[in-house]
Amino acid sequence: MKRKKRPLRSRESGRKQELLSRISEKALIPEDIAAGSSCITVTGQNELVIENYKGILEYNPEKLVILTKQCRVEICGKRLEILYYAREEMKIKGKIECIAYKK
Amino acid sequence: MKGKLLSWMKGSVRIRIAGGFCERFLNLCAYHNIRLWSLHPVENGYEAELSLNGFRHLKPLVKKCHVNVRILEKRGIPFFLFRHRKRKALLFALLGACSLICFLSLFIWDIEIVGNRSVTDERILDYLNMEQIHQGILKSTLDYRQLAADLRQYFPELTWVSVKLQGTRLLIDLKENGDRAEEAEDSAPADLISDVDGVIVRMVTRAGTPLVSAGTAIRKGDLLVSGSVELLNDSGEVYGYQYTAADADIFVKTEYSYQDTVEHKQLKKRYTGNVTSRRLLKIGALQAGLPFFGNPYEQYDCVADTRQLRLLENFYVPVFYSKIVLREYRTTWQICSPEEAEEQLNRNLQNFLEKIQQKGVQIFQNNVKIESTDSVSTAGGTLVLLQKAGRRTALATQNQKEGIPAE
Repeated sequence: MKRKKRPLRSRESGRKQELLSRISEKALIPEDIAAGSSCITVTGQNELVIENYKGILEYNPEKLVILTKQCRVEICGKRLEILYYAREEMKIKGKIECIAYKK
Repeated sequence: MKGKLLSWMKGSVRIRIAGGFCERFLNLCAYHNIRLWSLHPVENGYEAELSLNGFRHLKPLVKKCHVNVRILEKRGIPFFLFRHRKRKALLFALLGACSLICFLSLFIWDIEIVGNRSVTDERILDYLNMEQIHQGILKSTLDYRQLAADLRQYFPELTWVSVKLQGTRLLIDLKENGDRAEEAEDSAPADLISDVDGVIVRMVTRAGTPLVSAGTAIRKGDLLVSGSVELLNDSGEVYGYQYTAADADIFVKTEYSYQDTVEHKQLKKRYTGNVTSRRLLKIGALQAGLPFFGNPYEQYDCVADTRQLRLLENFYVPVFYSKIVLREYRTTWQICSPEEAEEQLNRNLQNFLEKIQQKGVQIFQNNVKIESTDSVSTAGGTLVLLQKAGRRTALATQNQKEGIPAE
């Protein structure tokens, strides 16, 4: 019988994330350090700072898709501009309408 | 602000990224610690700013992602210097300016005195001038600790002096405490001597041995209350002295001769309303006025508002800018009537009486009479005043008189 690989991997990674988040919770370690979760700080509707990401997948004035360790973060809005883009952190300015997490 | 200044000093470029895999290129930049800012999408690509150093490391990334990078703008000192590399005079001027600033920072160009109330700025500046401390002296020639100690010694009113150097400014911070000085004086043995001529009306002695009594005529310098109190034994003989600070309320009736004159023909200053202003620029010992032509008025009052140039908060340089306002006036002879002159004399007398009353002097009798002739009016006569007398002077104790050193 042939095994389907993708669902298994996805299930495994889900369990791993869950385990890591439980350990970090018990050990009082911030989750963004232990599990490598991305940290998003939104100020009002015009400013967003994101930390712990892998890179940009798509970028246009209406949509910015960022790849993180666990999922893709889609930021939709108008006149989106990256104020700075560094290895650890980026700051986005513009009218933010929606932030979505997609697997 | 700090980041902008830093990027301007190190140099930055604005680039346009087009073609190939632009997003991958952006991610590679971030991965290689090449910071991008002001990143926004444009038609067929992106525009971003990055440091000059970051730009120098872009080449392998450009090849890897097959993108086309074009410089749109260059900013910062490295580009400025490169653009003006053939302008030798500019380079020398920059070097000259820098060395001039370094040279000027070796001197003191401003003296600021803070915290003084009774000791005026002028008195302190006069003392500093006497000590050869003025604007334009070398910082290295100044001994701050010595200056602070000297100031404390010269002005006993000062209880605390701090001398600091901030940039090219000498900051003298002072604290005065009159009360403490008085207290110290109070406790020291002292005699009370007269500071006026007159007759004692009333006297209450609180400490010391009174040498005068009510009704005694005294002169300036007479000893009123001695600070030494005799100690007597059972047989009434003096076996020692106790020294104290003499204290007494002594009211003395004195006579004061008052004289005042007002001439009927007086020279009066009358402003014409003509006002003109001048600008004066002073660099070191050189000065230039604007406009260059002379003063248009024969008689004028001159008010100058002078400001000193400073590069930073505490970096003063010897460049002064003054705005001078000239106000024209004419002097005319005015003749006033004897009544007006008498009125003025009366006003002067009232002012004088109010002033001495504020000092605690009571007016016992007023014999001032006003007389007028054709050209002059005079007020003259005696004022009988009731005032408090007595001034403390240091007391020489018996031991000191005999030359025995104090324990």
